[in-house]
Amino acid sequence: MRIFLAWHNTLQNKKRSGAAVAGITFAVLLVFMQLGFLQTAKTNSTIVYNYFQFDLIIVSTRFEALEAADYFDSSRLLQARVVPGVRDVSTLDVSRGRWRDPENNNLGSSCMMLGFDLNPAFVPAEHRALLPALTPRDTVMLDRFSHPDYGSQRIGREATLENRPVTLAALYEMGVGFQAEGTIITSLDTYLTIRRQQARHVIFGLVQITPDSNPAEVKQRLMAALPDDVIVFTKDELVFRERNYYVNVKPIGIMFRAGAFVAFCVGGVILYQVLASEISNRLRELATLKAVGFTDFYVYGVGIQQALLFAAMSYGPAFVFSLITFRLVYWASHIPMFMTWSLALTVLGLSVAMTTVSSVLALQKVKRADPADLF
Amino acid sequence: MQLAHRIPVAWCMLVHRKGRFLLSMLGIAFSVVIMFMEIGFFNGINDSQARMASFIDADLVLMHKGRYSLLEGDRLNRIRMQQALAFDEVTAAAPLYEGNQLVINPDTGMAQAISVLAFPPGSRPLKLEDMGELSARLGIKGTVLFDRLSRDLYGRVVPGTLLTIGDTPHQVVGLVAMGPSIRSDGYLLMGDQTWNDSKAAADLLSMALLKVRPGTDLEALRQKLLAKLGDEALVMTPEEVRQREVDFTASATPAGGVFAIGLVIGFLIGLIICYQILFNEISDNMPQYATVKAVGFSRGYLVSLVMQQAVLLAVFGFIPGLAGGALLYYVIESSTSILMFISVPRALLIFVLTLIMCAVSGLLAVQKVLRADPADVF
Repeated sequence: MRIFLAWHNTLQNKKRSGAAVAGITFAVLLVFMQLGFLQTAKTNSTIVYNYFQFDLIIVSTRFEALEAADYFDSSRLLQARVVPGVRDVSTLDVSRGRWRDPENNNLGSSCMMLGFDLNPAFVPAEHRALLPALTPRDTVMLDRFSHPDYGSQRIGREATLENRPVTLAALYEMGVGFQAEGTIITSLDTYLTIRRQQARHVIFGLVQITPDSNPAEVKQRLMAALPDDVIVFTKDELVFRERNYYVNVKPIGIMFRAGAFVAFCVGGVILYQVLASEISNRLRELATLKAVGFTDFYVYGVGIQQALLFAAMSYGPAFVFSLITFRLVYWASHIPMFMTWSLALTVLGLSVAMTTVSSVLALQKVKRADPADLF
Repeated sequence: MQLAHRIPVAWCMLVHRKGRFLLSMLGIAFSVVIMFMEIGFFNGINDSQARMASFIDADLVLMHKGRYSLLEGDRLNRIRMQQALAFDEVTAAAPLYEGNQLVINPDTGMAQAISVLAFPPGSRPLKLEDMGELSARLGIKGTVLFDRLSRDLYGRVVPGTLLTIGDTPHQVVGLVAMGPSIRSDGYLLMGDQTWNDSKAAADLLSMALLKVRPGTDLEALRQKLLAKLGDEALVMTPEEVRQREVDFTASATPAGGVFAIGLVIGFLIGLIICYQILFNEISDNMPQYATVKAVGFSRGYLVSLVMQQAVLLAVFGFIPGLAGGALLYYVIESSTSILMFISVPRALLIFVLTLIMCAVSGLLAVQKVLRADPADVF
């Protein structure tokens, strides 16, 4: 009785099992890839928000997303400073511009420009020492992850931003999303000169609260104190909004979502196809088991165990292949893709679920199998 | 060999078990759908990015040399257009300004970015329905035309809507049908005086659109123009602008690599599925194959049997795959406004890939048949 039948079934015809495992491996790999893209699209859309250290953020009521950032009047920031619970306020402007590398024939690249008032409390601790380098006019800090087309990442080199000469004064690490090929931070002065924008126009007001206060309460107080041309979000709310916008509205986001959905369907169908042919090969044996008196439960168990064995054997190679694929994507497109725990576990859960469902469907045949027909 | 000609053995073997055949078809069809999806996304991005160029109504386009892609904003001195106009062959020239603005969605009050094209009212820079009449309406300052195929971000915009652009209300006086690109979500068309009001610099053009006298040798004119205009200008036909943009997007944007990898994975999935199908088919029919061998058919006949099955699978998997792909394209195009269409060369490419996929797996699976030993079977 204690024979691990499913295991012996799997080993009996190694080539056939090999083909089945390979089929499932690629189905799982496909799901890995598409979910990986979707995850990357989501995290990438909010890199800027995650980099800066703030609790609450003030934006124009007309603000929908980073792509179309509308401004509000800087006097709102002065008003915000006096609200109880507010520890510090900082200004951040964002827009897209064009970076040109004079060392490479003025090759242009899209650039996310961040104009920042250089308040050290609002950047990660390890980058605070870099900020004074940006005090002179027309200096920029370049993200190390920027596209190679940006040219050499050498302090002191020159380039142009929106056709205005700038000097590279520091390098930092934030990460580059789908919106642009690279990112730079400048002082607010330099930013306003490059953009020819009025100093009163502010896109983001970053707010840090005092340690003893509660973000939700300070948010309510700010909303009450400020006129209704601005709106206050917590960091999480803003991140959530931006991700939703990106995935539901922007074409790249929708494409990755559609891709993930198709990958599920295809993965499911392929799994079913593989398992159904495996089970129909074993139909005689399973029916015999039934005939000699094993319960339906036992016979189903053997089929499902075998399916799960296949899934387990496929997951490992699929995981390794997807690590390789992520490297390939990074190499081909400079989109940073990471294997996270949540991605690994989601795919594991999905493949177990898909396997179980498709094996149960495939086992319907056994249920109908009549031993009398077989002999 | 007589038998082979009279009875389609491969076909009979394939459809002998209808349920399994259907399942096999579905497996192949889905890998075809994946390949269609990846190549569709890839082409969709490239085609959409270049869509604006296909609307240009001109024989030749002048642009600044620095504009190696339409994403570049380099502008051309207006004097170049006047110089071109001095040529006998050039009958008309019109400036086109491009830019971006924030518009406020009248329903939600949210700001959204939009692309702007501006031109002298009454000129016909774009091949759009009723362009002449609509363009004339822009003669009144503060009026705009809205692209009704824009993404669903701008709310309900109809003729008569008062649309806030930047901080100023503008009157929508008509709708056009263009469709967005990947970067921009929609278009606004306006008269150049309305545009210059907000952005100034009327002497710098994004494009100069030239019409030439019928029967002119475009190539000769292009050379003359290039010689006259010096280093600053590019001279191209609208079709060249479009093709250049497609090529640029394909090579410069990260999407290409992503979808190429997806295509390879779809191909590998199909390969393995097809192998699995053929392998099972052969395993199940081993006694038959061995018998065929025993009664004297050649190895070549056995190989051709398997390969015929592989090709049949490719054909019968491709047909539903094509239908599935078309459906997927329709759904994605309607939800993203990305141009997705199946052209004959693209469908042929996928079909050839499917054939290769099935043929390779047939070759892999046929090994087993060749080893079939009648003595083992009986």
